[in-house]
Amino acid sequence: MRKSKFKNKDSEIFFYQGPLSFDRITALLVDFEKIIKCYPVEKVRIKRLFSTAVEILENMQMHGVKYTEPLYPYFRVLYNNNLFCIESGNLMATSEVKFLQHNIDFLNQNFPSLTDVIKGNLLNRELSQKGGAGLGLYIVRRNSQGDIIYKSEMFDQNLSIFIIQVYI
Amino acid sequence: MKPLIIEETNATPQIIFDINNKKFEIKGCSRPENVRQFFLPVVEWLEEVYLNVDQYKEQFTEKPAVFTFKLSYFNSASAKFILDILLLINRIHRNGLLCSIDWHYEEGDEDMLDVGKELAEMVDFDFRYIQVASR
Repeated sequence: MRKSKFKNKDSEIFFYQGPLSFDRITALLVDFEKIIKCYPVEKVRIKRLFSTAVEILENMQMHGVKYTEPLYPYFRVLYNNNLFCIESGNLMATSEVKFLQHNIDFLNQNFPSLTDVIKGNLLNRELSQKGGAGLGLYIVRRNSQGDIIYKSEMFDQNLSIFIIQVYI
Repeated sequence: MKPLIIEETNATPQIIFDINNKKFEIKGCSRPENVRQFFLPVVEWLEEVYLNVDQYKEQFTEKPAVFTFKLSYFNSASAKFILDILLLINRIHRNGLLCSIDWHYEEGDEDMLDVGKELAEMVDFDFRYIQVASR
C-alpha cells in the first residue's frame, strides 16, 4: 500500500501501519509532534502538520472498513527541501470511493471560497452519528500548500485502497 | 451553582466554569474520543446560567464574566461544540449578564488567531485577542 511522489527513501521521517484506535492515535500524535518539532519550521506549520495528522488519522479510524494484516491503514510523513508530505492509505468500501473523490474535487476546485459554506455547516449541521463534523477534509485542504492529491485502486469487488497526499 | 471542573488530559482541555469565583476558562488541546459526551456538561452548565441569568447578573455589573479560551489545538468535531459554547455565551450576554471573551493564541500561530476571528464573526461577538509567548 505504500506509494509516494518522493523517491528518496531517506526522506521518510515517520511511518505507522497498523490498527487505529483512539488511544493508538493519541500515542502516534505524541510521537509525531516530538519528531516534527526537531525540524526548523515555523510554529504555524508545526500546528498545521499536527492538525492535518489528527484529521487524517481520525478520518481513517472513523470511516475505514475493518481491516486485518497486511491491509492495515498506514500513515507516513516525508520531508524534503523544507516541505513535508503527509500520506495515508486505507481500505474503504468501493461504493463510497466516488463520493469521497467528489468531495475532494469539490474542495480542491473551490478552495478558498468555501469559508462561508463551512461556516454555514458549522452553524446549521448536526454532528454525524460517528461524531464527525464533516469538516476534516476541509481542514486538511486548508492546512495544505496545494490540492489534496488522491488515488484509489480496486482491491477486490467490494473494497478499494484509497491514498491521499498533502504537502505542508 | 456548582462549579464545573474538568481535568486536562492529552486529548481534552481543562475546563473551569466557576461562577462564584468568577473564573471561566477552557485550556489545552481538544480532540475527545466522544466529543458529545465530553462537551455536553459544558453546554448544560451554560444553559443553566442562561435560564437563571437574573440570579447571577448582579455579580457582573461592574466587571464582565470573562470567558478565557486558551486552546492550543482543537479538532473539527470540537469546533462544532466550541461554536455552541460561544453562541450560548452570547445569549447569556444578550440576556443581561455582562460577558466578554478572551481568545489566546501563541505567538506565530496565526491560524489560531484567524479561527478566533472567524468564530467571533459567526457568533457576532467581539473577542479580545491575546498573544502569548510560544511554548
